Amino acid sequence: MNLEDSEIISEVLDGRKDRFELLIQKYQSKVFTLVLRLVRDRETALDLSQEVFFKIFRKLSDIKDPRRAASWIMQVAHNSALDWLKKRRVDALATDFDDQQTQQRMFPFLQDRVNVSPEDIVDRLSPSLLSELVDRLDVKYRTVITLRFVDGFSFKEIAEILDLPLSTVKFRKHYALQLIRDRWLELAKNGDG
Amino acid sequence: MEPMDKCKEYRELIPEFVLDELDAVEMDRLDAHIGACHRCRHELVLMRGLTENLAAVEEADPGPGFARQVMSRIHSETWLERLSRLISTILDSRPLRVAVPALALGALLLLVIPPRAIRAPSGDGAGPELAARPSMGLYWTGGSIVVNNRSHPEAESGRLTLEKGDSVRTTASTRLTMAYPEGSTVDLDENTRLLVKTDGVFLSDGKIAASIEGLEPESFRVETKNAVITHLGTQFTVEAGDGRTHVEVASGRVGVTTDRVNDKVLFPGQFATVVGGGELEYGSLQRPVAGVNASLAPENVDVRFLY
Repeated sequence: MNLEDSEIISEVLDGRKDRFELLIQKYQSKVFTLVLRLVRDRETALDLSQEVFFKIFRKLSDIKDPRRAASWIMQVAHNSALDWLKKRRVDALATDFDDQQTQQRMFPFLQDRVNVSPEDIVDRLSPSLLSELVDRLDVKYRTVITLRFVDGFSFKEIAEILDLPLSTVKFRKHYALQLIRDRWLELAKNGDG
Repeated sequence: MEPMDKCKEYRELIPEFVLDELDAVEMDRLDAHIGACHRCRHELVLMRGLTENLAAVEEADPGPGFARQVMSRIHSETWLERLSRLISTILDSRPLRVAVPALALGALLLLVIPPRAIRAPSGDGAGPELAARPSMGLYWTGGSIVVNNRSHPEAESGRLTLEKGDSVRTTASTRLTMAYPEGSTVDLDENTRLLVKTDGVFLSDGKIAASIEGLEPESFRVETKNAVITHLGTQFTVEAGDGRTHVEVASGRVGVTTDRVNDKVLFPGQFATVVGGGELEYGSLQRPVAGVNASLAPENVDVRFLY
């Protein structure tokens, strides 16, 4: 059975609390992925994600348009993670890519190669390496990349979630991709040297 | 060939090109340029590889039992929590977010709410709500333990408490007992690492023996990387490490949930082993359940806890 979010919400508001579990199951991975990318600690992300769904349950009657539940849920998740970062004063900025160990671990194939084509580099690119590159982006770029590429939201939905103009979201995506690309090649180049 | 600054302009469009976000005219222009420009073609290969690999990054998995845990909390929200939430809402909606009304309401609550609802008594089997659970005492022998990355010598045994969010690790030859206010104990073997959660613990590595008293069934859980072990009124051990979780039941019952198995109930003398992605094997033990050590906590629970 694949109920629409609005149907599930309507049932929960009618007193069928247990139906809320369907909404959790549908969005738990997306919420957890975003929160984990932002706070970068699994246990904290688990606790925060639980809080997110608890908060959503309590505020369910406040939802203005149940058809846009997905954006609303992700907005709560995003705000919760940002609040946590602010409270903890965690440095959410990117860390530099000047770690030689990281270079060697990521690009061992470059150690004994002189001329490497883009195809060679792409062949050795993996989702796990990209995951690390994304983790080192500033939080605002990390958020857009995670929502777009990992969680699969459209730019329009991301603009709603982050309450930003569509053009800003697209700029952040563009800039984030360039940053990832530059750091990726920087690693490859240094590793080559 | 077009000049270099034209290349720069085209390269700016490549991320949008690979994501199919350009209009038809720009798409055709860039397509024609790439056909004639070796450098921009390389750039296209890189950006296409990058976006394709980004799209292949998998969503993170919160683990088995996540939805159930949230639902359990929703079902167990107490009237006291609802009342405090209502008060928060009232305070948030007015410019009265100052200490005076908060203190006044706090004083009113103290008058209205019977002391039992705030101070959870131990050993009466009533089962205090987990969200209101106070800190638990720590008792250890054999050396130092590490709490939140800080080492504590044996001389501090009995003087430390743990709360939700704290991490604790025993070193080699150290044995530790975490004593919960309602009388439950969790004994940690040497080289064991766990995190305290609202509704139990997350065991990353090592072995624990849990003896749960005075709690409602399903209100205490041991989570590992690939399983959730739910107390159903019982004594049990859990061992975790190297992608494997091993559970043994000494008395009562426990439920074991993994990605593949939902709430397999184990009875005294039974064991379950969870490997990898959640495959579960279970059976009967041919020996008594081996705990990690006798509980180190003193018998008089009233002096153990700080409220």
